[in-house]
Amino acid sequence: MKKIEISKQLPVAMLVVLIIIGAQLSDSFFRVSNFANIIQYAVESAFIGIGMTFVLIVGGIDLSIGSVLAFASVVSAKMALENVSLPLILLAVIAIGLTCGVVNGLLITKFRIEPFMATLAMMMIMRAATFLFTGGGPLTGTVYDGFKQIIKGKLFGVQNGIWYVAAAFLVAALILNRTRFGRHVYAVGGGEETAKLFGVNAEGVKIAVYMISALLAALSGLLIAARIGIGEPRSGQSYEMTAITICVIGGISMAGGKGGIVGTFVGTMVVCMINNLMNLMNINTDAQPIVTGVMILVTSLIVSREVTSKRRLLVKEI
Amino acid sequence: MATLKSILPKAFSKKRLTIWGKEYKNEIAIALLIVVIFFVSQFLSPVFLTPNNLLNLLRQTAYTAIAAIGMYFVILIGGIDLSIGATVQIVGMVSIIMMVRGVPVGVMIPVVLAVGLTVGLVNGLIVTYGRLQPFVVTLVTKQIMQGIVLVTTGGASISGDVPDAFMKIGAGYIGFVPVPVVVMAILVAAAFFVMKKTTFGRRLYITGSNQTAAHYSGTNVRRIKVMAYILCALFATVSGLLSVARIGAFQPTTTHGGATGMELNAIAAVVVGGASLAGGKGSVIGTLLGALLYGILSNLFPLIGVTSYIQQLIQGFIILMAVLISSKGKLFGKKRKEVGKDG
Repeated sequence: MKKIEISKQLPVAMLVVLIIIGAQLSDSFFRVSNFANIIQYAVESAFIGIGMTFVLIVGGIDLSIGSVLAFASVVSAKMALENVSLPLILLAVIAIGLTCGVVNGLLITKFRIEPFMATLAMMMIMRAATFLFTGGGPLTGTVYDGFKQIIKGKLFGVQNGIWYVAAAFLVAALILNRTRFGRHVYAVGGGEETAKLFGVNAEGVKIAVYMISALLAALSGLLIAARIGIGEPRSGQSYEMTAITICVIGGISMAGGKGGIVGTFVGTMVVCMINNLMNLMNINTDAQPIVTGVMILVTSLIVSREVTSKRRLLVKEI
Repeated sequence: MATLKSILPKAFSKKRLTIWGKEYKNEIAIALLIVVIFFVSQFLSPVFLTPNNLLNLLRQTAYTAIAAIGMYFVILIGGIDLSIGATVQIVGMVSIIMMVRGVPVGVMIPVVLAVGLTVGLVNGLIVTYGRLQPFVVTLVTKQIMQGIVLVTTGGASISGDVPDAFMKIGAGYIGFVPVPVVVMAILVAAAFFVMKKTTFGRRLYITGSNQTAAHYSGTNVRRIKVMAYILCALFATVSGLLSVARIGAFQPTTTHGGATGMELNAIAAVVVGGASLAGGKGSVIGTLLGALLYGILSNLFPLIGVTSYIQQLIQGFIILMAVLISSKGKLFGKKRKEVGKDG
């Protein structure tokens, strides 16, 4: 008899339950406009969640995304305030993201620092750089309209944000499932030595993965700057937590080698929907972390229970 | 010279000294660095080397050092505890609330220690029996505890009549030494003794360096791990009590997002002191020196007019340098030999 794998069904089940609860609790929940709204505000979470997915699959972690996001955000706001054209801003943001990613990747691969410590140091350094760049306070002023249109605009009657989310997940899914690079990401996460023996350039894959993560963080920074219209050096704090939450709920193993973009998508939707529901239900914002925290613990306990019971058949574990 | 050699006991023989030097390579390096900073500091700031400032520095260091020693146990077994900042908050809140409501200090302290113990126990049990990554577990418990603090206090600070006896713990002196420094010294000595002279200490080491071997040599790996988390939370509790006793009021800080705050300083101190996040490496003295280095820099920087952002920048670089030095990888050129283990 084939056993149903709870870990694979759990995120989807959670999503369904959430939608049902939402529909019961609030009339305004089950409307296209509310869903569009949820997705519209899910762009940043989706981006950093996808980036973290790549990093977690190779068995790493990236704590620096919040700070990279903030740095890209203040730089793009500064450029927008000085009326620099959009392509140039985009170029600068991409450059920031890729540079941070390369630095993270090199520290981890060439200098053999644990990902946790390397990205932690990077998190402090980039946050400090952000504050130094703005001089402490936010950068305010009027940005030109085209800059705001990055997020506020519409294409074929659909908000840009929804297009970004769709595009990001589509591209990420294609890369992970349909390219050689994607398979290498899984191979390195599943067992680095084995992957190396099969000729995978493990260090290159790792560096690329951190570049993807930092690039997506920098792009979210641009979107945040466009959304709020100022350069806020405090933005993006604890975003690494959000990204990890998304991935953990989406069933991506922190040990590497497991999980997929579908999980990230469901995880993003669950997290954003919980936030939306808690706001609709007027739950105290201070209490919201408790709810999400308990949810992460319960989900990951269920998943880890199943994984270990499977593994226990093979090796006796300590 | 011959007479001097004969006077010196065997413990100082050349062979012993080389072994000793190798074992404490990291500690000696940091100690030298601290000496250099002390030497240079007198040219940078006239205030730094005054007795008053040095005592103040030691007091500031004590809070971090105590938390760092707790963190050291957890990092030694290959775990990590991101929840100590939140533990400090919970402890501070509970102790102030109890004292404001008239609970005597003698009752309050055991209760608060029990709270800390429970936090550590929960962390440890979920990590070991729930088989989850310590990073995720403690990040979540941190989030939950911060939520509890914010919901209970509504984000406002709590103050009121705090017994003098309690305030003496934080602000008092024994002789000319501040009480927190004395507490730090006692705890460091105790931790040093435990690590050097007891089976429990040995088991912490072996669990961190090879838990399979530890298991087969009769160590209850799970129990040792849970103990490490409990110790970490207890040390954080003591640190929290001392800092609350200094101010006499509780202030919930909401600005600490992610992995910042107290836990970050503690982890940095442990890692700068020569420990590895992979576990099985590091020493109590190294941790103490790491905390001291951290304390010295955060005391010295404002004195010589370095802004807090640049301080953070420099601290980030110091962490990087420390891990670079203690990581075995060669910076350039040949790769490290790989011994059948994923990098």
